[in-house]
Amino acid sequence: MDNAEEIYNAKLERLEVAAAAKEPDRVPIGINTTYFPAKYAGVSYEDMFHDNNKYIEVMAKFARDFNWDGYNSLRSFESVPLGLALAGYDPDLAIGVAVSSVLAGGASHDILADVYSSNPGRELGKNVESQFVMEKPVMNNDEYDNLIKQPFEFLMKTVIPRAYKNLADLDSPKGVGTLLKMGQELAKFPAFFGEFLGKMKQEAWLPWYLALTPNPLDFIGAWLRDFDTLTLDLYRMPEKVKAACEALTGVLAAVGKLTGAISKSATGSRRVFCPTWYNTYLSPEQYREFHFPYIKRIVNELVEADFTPLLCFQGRMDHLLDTLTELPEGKVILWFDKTDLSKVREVVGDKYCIAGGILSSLLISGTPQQVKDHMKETINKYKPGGGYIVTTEFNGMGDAKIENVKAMTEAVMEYGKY
Amino acid sequence: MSFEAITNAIKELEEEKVLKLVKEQLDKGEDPIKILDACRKGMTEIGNSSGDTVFLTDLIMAGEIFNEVMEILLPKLVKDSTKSLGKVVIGTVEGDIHNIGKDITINFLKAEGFNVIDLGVDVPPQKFVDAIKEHNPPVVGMSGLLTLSIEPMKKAVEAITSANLRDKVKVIIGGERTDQGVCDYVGADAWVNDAIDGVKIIKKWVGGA
Repeated sequence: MDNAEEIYNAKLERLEVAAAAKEPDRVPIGINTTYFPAKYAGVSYEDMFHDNNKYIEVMAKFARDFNWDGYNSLRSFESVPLGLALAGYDPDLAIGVAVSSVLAGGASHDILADVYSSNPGRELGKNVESQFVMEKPVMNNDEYDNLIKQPFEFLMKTVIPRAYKNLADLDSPKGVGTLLKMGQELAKFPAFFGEFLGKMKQEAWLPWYLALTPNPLDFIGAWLRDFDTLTLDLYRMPEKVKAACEALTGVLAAVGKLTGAISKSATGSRRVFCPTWYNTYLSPEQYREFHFPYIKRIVNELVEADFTPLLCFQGRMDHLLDTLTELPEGKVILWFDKTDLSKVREVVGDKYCIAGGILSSLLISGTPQQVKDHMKETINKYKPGGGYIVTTEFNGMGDAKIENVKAMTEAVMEYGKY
Repeated sequence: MSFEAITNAIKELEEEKVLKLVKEQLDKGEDPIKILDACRKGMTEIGNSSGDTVFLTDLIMAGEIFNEVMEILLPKLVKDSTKSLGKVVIGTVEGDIHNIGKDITINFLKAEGFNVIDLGVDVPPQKFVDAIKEHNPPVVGMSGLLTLSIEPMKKAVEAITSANLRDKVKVIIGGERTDQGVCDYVGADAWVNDAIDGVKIIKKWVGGA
């Protein structure tokens, strides 16, 4: 195989077969690389984040040199609430606004002045990865009912002015001007995205994921209430939290399908990234009460619409494994961070695709030989019968040593063949 | 019996009940130190069940209740009437702005009776060095949620070594992405993935537990 289209088709097939819990020609490798392509190409994180030409350059170079089955480096998520607030008014516009920060870099952060993210070359040093931590909650204790009754109105009128400093007063020249600037930026997006896809196709690139949707509890925790206050809400007002999750489930499933459709038409990938975050911290009872029911509904809706949910269970999931087999067999990818993968295999058997097995700490502090040995052992353990994808923890690549990432790649090619 | 009720209410995370009982005991003229001890006992028992029947959300709620109790008790406690187990300097390392693991550790260290100096998040190496010089703690805790916090942990330990302070303190690192390999790489004395394990190690080092 030497032409890009054949290589691309082989990757697409390999990932799809593995996702169906079957044996492809080789164990696929799919990774969220975050800023590693910048480090590899000798470009600053700041430039990768803010300069779209540099972004394309480092992404293409990484695709060419490593040739993984899937990888992506989405940038940030700060425009998501603004997009969501528009979802009842114009779904296409809403998605455009939401993905503007995900794909098109730091412009929306600079224009909106959000309270969510800290970015390289802005709040952080020029080679520090973006982080997403709210300064303080943008929804108050007594506002759950407003969110539950009229989510879009509540988001636009109450949350947006608090979440974006430049939209604090939507009626002011600054507020209107900020929206117009966002419009100008959005107008540039199709040209950038077209150029990005064109260049990446030449490199036979396929994303690990391009589409995404959060689940209700994590959305409330990351964008509305912040981690600590939502945790206390679970004890102080559990019924309100559940009603809010209920109110958001449909719209978040729709976000998954709409972004999934963009991904499918642009890259062929049917995977929809469904990150889960709170799971690590919840008791099994809390997980079954506040988190899993809504995740399951979104997953089922995505599967019915012929998408493949890529469930990224961040942190540790060891105490919640019994819920996994309630998800549709052979239709989802179960991706783990620090959860014991061999226990997962015991629980889900050969009916589900699992992804994981590479710890970022090894890529950072290990030697190429240690990486190779670990890869050999891991691949040999999970490869039999298919349904296994090599990946690292979510956002685990940042400070990895380049020689270790090369050793990992070589090991997949050497030991991964069926 | 009533102190036991406070301990149990803390263990059960019954916020309103705890606050009500604490106020009742104070109104009855009970010694605030005894009330505090009852709360601490509840916190210790929660810590001991961590990872088994107690999960991180429970630890956050317990910390919140304990802080609310302290707000009530603090004005009633005569200064220095409670014995400190020792000082701990703690912070989230440079480049990382996550506070959850650090804050849980702090709440439970305080509940155990440690005097905690919280350096906050995104703490540069020099700030750890300055805090050691100023407070002379036996233990320094470095927290970091992300992979990107591994290098800054290493730099902070190096800065402590360069300032000739490394043999004066024990360094413990905590965070989801730490393990023995990271601990060796960073040059720390211990590592934990779990805040409560961190408190236990620190107690073993300086609290005599």
